[in-house]
Amino acid sequence: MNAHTYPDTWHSHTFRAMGCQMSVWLELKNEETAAALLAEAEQMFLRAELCLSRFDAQSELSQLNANPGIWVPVSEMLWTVAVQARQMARETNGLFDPTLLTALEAAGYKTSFADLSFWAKALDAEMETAVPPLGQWEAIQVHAEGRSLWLPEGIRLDLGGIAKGYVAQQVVNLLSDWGPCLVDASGDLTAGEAPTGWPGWPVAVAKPSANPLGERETQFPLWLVNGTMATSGIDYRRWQQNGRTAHHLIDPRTGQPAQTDLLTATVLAKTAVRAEAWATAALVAGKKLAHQLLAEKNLAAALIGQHGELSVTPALAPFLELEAIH
Amino acid sequence: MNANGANSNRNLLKMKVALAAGGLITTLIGAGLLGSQAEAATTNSTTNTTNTINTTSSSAEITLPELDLELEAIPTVVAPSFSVSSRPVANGRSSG
Repeated sequence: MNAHTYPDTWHSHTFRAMGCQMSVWLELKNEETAAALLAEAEQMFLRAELCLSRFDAQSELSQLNANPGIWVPVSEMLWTVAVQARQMARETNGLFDPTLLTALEAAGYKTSFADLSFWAKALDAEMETAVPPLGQWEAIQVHAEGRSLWLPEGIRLDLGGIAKGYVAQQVVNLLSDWGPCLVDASGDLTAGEAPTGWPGWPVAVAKPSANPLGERETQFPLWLVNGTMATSGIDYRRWQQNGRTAHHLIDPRTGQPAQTDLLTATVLAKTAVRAEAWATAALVAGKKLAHQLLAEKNLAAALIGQHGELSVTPALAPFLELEAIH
Repeated sequence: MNANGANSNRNLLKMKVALAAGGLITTLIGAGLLGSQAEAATTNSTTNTTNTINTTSSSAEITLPELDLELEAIPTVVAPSFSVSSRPVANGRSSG
């Protein structure tokens, strides 16, 4: 089964948005309609970036972050993502926390990875210690009637991966009215129904790699259908800061880049936002606690340790037992 | 104008007065309600602004767009896998 052997009713479109490479797949007989729908999918990501990017000072999220201490009416998109982020912080007992932007910037992650100047800035960065008290997600207030949000002084939101997952879910919801579809949001995969005659979308969990541009080896293959497989990792995009290795995943318990025995954490869930949040929470928690928490929630997950060792949760194991066909 | 016409005019006048009075009463009631709501909103706003920890929403009737976690299911299926030497449509990987 190679790429060129996929049915010719499978159409795909690749583009850049939200600082990442995105690919969208749609099974549809009519090529022109498919092209129009895939173009609309790209526009949905671009519109979301205008709303939810923390790197754009004009984005709605940046405007909210710049106005602590007052009620700010927000769009339905920002409202929904913020409410669900708060819900996920509650469900993960704060291991996923959308209020860590100041800590993230203190660790050197101030501009987009796509911005080449990021690396120079990160390498030269001096340790900043003005990290606010942690666990501040509980202080996010929401006012349903006015669809308004209120952030306390010193707290700013970073919706990062959870925002990407939300948009991927919206795209799948749109395309599913037309046919089976799959969104690859730079490695976080959200699927609709299975393609005709297939058990699901043929995807794989990749082995960790320090080279994001290189070909990825497969850890194990999987059929994905009606849900999301999200991966958080620190296998690349690390930098040195004051003699210590830093990365983009902050441990809410310390305010520092997580000291974890995991390289990647992959979580499958019905909704993209939940998969994203738990992938981050699992990586931050470390192998032992992650297994305990994921099992309590009956979530299917694969954890890969610092030495490449793979472990899966009881919910995922039954799906990996069959031999591969060739 | 005959008697019927006079009665008709009187009835019309009564109706206008009743409508006007009703409208006035409605307006007064409406204003009162709005005043109450405005007062409640102010109270809520004050409460929300001063209580930075426990507040969720001032309106319990309005549903927040939270995820329905009760509908959770594992989004994969048990089926013979495709070969690991073949190429998947997409790789699950960390995006940084």
